[in-house]
Amino acid sequence: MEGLRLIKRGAESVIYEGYFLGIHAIFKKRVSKSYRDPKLDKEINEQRTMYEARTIYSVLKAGINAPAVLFVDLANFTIVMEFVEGAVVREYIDGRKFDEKGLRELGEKIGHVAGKLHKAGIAHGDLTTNNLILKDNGELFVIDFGLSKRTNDVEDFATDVHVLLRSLESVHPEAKDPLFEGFISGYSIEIPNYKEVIDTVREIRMRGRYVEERRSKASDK
Amino acid sequence: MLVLGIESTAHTFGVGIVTDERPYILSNIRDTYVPKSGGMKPTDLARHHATVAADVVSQALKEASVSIKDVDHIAVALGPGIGPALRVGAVVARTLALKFDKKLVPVNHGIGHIEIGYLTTGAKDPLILYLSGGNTIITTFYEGRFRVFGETLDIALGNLIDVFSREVGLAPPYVVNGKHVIDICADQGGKLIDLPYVVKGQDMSYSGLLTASLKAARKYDLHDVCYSLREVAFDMLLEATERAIALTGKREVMIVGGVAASVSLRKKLEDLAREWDAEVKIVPPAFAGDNGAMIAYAGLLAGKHGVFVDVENSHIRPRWRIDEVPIPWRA
Repeated sequence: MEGLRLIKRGAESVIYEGYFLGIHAIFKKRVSKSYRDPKLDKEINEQRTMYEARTIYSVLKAGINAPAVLFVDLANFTIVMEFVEGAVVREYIDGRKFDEKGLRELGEKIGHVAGKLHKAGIAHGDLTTNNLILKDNGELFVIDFGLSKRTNDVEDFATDVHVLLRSLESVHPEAKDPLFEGFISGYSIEIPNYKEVIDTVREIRMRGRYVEERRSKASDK
Repeated sequence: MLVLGIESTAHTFGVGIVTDERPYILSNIRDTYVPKSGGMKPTDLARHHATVAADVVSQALKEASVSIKDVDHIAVALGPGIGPALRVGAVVARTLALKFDKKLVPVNHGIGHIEIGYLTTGAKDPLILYLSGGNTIITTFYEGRFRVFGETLDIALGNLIDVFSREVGLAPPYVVNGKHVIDICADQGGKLIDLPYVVKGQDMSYSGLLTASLKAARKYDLHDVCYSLREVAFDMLLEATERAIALTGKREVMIVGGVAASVSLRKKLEDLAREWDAEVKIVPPAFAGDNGAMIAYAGLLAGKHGVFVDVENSHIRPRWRIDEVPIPWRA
């Protein structure tokens, strides 16, 4: 890993920037956790490295922007992939770079990408504003497929939407409404039965603890 | 200013009295219901609380050496929790408020745990893990509210561990010499059995893990099942916590709630915090479990900002989420 520049330390991996066979690349290495049982640690890191590489391939085939995989080193839990110039969506929103109309348009873009993923039978597993890169030319890239899976289950798609919504609520409460409205209008174009997905999102949220709406009768008063 | 706080959301009926200057907590009396077998029946809880309520209130006053007349406000945990248990605390609080002409302060139980955590650990700007029998929440304060980053999608971590321990015959009692029976059992195991590890974004799901562990207990050595259950359950929480640390950049991790006393969880969290150059701050055991002082203290903060409720509107709120509560005292 010589000649590489550390650019980000995420929760589960360390990201370096460098060149792979002359191509501007990032090196994503999943790190072992000292708090985790070694066997469980190896299983989780190996499985996620493999899933991520495989999923990126399917994602690209489905015509969705994601960094292309250049090399996989499973023994070291490392994937080498194309470097994508741009900033994560979270930084864009935090920088207040958008007015309400801009936020709605951004949400729409996210909705299209999420819808295309689901149409291709892929659930991302951690669809937050940290895992979306916006290039200066306006193209939206999806990254970090470590928790992704191949599926056609509405529950998995709804979980993606729930996780996104949760990340908007907790990190960008002020931008949530226009973003999510935009999301729905983009998503509904890709997914004709989006209502079923949204209903399932509501269902998932109702399963949460202490959800006021879940109480249908007023007998507790 | 003196505030008397009443806790009755689950198995504990507690009364605490606090003041707004050192030493803050003047008394903290509680009586916890422990069923001889099985889980807790709401009606049994209510009966227990109603039976001990008067004694707990007068003991708390006596230990604080104050008269009810000196108390400024009555704070009460109106939720979240078990309806019949909540109602006992609410009735006691309303009675005291009416009889002695005191203002009533509504307190969210979870906010009580969090605020007593700030007070006792000295944390300034922490990522907060609120872990108890009923809650598994990763939260932090931001713009007027405690925002939830992640939580369990079904049962709580404490509930998982307690139900498993009970079903396989390790409990009650759940805690022996300050150690949870799951830890005592797990420390004698060490072989990892395949159990479902379910993290969805920043949320965790524990109900499948409970079912799978109970099944595994019939097939494998119990010590290994205890070990595997503990490792998988804690590691799921740690993974979600680590994501939240990465996302928020917080340098303090504060643990509040009954599960905060777990020695093995503390060790894992300290390992994790070291990797992020963060500090772990754990609420002291006396204030980890449900207690009245934490309700009184959160009520003191709220009362200073004019948060009151009329007796006729003081409904219990069994599903009151922490992120619904405005926090005017943390600007």
